[in-house]
Amino acid sequence: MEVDFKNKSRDFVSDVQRSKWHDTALWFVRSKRDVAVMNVDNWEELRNQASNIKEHCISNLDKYLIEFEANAKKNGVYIHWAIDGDEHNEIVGKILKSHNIKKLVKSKSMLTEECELNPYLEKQGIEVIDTDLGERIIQMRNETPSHIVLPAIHIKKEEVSELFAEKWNTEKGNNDPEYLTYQARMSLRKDFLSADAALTGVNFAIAETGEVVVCTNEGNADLGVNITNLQIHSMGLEKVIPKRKHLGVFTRMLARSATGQAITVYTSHFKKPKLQGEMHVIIVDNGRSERLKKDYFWTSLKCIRCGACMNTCPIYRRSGGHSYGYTIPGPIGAILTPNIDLKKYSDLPFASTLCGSCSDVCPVKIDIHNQLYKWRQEIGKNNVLPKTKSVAMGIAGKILEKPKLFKFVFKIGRITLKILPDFIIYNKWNNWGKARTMPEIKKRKNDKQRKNIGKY
Amino acid sequence: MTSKEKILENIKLSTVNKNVILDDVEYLYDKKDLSVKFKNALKSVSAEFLIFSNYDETVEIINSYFPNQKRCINTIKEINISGLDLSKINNPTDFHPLDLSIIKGDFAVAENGAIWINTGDLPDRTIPFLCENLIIIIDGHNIVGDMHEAYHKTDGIDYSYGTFITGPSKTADIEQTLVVGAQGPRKMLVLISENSFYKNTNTKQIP
Repeated sequence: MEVDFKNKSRDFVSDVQRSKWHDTALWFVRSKRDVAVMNVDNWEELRNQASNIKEHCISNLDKYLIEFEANAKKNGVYIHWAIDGDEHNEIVGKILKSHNIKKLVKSKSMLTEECELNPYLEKQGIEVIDTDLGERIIQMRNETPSHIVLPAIHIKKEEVSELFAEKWNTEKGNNDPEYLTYQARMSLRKDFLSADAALTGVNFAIAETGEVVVCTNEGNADLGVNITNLQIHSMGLEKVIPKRKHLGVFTRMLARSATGQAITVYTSHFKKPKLQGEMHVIIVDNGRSERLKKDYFWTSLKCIRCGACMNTCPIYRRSGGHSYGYTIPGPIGAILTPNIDLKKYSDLPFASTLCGSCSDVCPVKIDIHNQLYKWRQEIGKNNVLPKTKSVAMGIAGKILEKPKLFKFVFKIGRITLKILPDFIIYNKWNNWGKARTMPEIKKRKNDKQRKNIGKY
Repeated sequence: MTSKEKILENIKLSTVNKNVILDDVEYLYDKKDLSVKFKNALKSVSAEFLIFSNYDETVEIINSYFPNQKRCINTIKEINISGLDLSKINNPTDFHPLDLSIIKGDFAVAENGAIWINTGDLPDRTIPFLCENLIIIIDGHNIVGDMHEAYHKTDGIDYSYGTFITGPSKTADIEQTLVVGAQGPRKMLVLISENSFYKNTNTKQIP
């Protein structure tokens, strides 16, 4: 089934108040990002470096992954390789089974969402608790994240209050975020203390030293990993960077881009297991090496998952993350997903105004809006455009090719728009007119200039 | 073929025509007003700080700042505060509930307020995270400008687990409202020593 962005976002947009609130909340984060970035003297230079490090690393990925594995093994870490999500889940399942684990605490990992790890483990009778507050909320609501950094950004505090009251018997009608956060803390403490294994995502893996770096604000990753004796870190293979010193660049950029903080509260470097503990790292491909083959689109692998492109995107802000139908929504999701399934996600590259704001805020300089534009062409070439688009574009193309025809059609258009009644203009084939009014026809003052256009 | 071989093979095929050269970048470290910048950064991350000149003072400060802390772990022998007897505890879950942890930070970062903790060297790795209140003691003369210098400073140190801690734990997952105190400590106090921990030398010390 293809993702129908327009229909999926309709529900979200039709709740005008919520859509407006969502828009404002994300713009607030974007504004904080601007302030944080302006406090760094050489931000643009940092972006260049970040982009260069990532491009270098990704174009030599085999070398760095081998180096990472060798050094991690020297540190006493077990390394596993998973070709896809299924194999990743099987590996996690096997590790947990061999230790007879009943309860796993997880900190935020978009990769495990991508692999759908939770349902897999639950089927095996393992209790999985997401410990990031936002993730815990959506886990309890049986939902998926709608944002990669702010997973519960689509949920209002009243809804959180209701949820906690129902599940944890907290005070009904108390919508104070501080109160609610404290209740979650109390509940999660019990989970941390009763869990026997922990799993985290990975922000950066260092080839030179074999360590993995995890960035969080809540302290949940460190609590989980340190209380239990078995730690598992799942990483997409593009997370590896050559040297420790490169962390200087990325730790300065990640939180500033994501939430406007100068750095996350915890930037943890896991290098060796604790004395009686075991540490596992799973390197996951799941289509990434295939994406690397693409001549133009491979640079999307540079992404460090900060979410800045989502916070700034006028379409994402107004339509919500669930409209994209994939774990990673927003502009970056719209250029990652066509790699996975061009037909299924053919609607997403069109969910953009191509304003370019995503590319401007991207800390690793992925030219997101250009890639969106190029994906549209790929989709057209491969004949997977939805009919409404392919027919309309075909006609528009023909008209635009011929200046005389163009003039004629627009003359007709101007006249008909003026004289036809609304119920005919806003017909069911008029997609533009569904949520917008057609432009007002004014007397044109610069017709003379326009007449000359064809002559050059 | 194992998954590892398949993945590496596929990467090799994919990267044939790609080889971006890594630029060699030299960083100019910020050396100006580091102490002021660091304190401002601490304020912005909801951490509190006080300056002390000798360890006897710290006992008084700690007792007045966090009175009636019943269960405490003090990892600094110069500070005369007795806490839980760690030798009698085998499992970190037995620390719980933990009112206060007192630990030493190796150095601090001016641009963001981060403090480097060699967490792997602590008697238990949970100590900075499980407590309600966290006190970190640092040498006020051991502050670097930014993260570039911070990583330069920790280069070659053989830690098993190290963490930059920047303030008490926090979250804004409910309607973007900042709440201090998520899963980790709910309050953090940084005690900054006026006197250098390393009295006999002026050179930069690697902790």
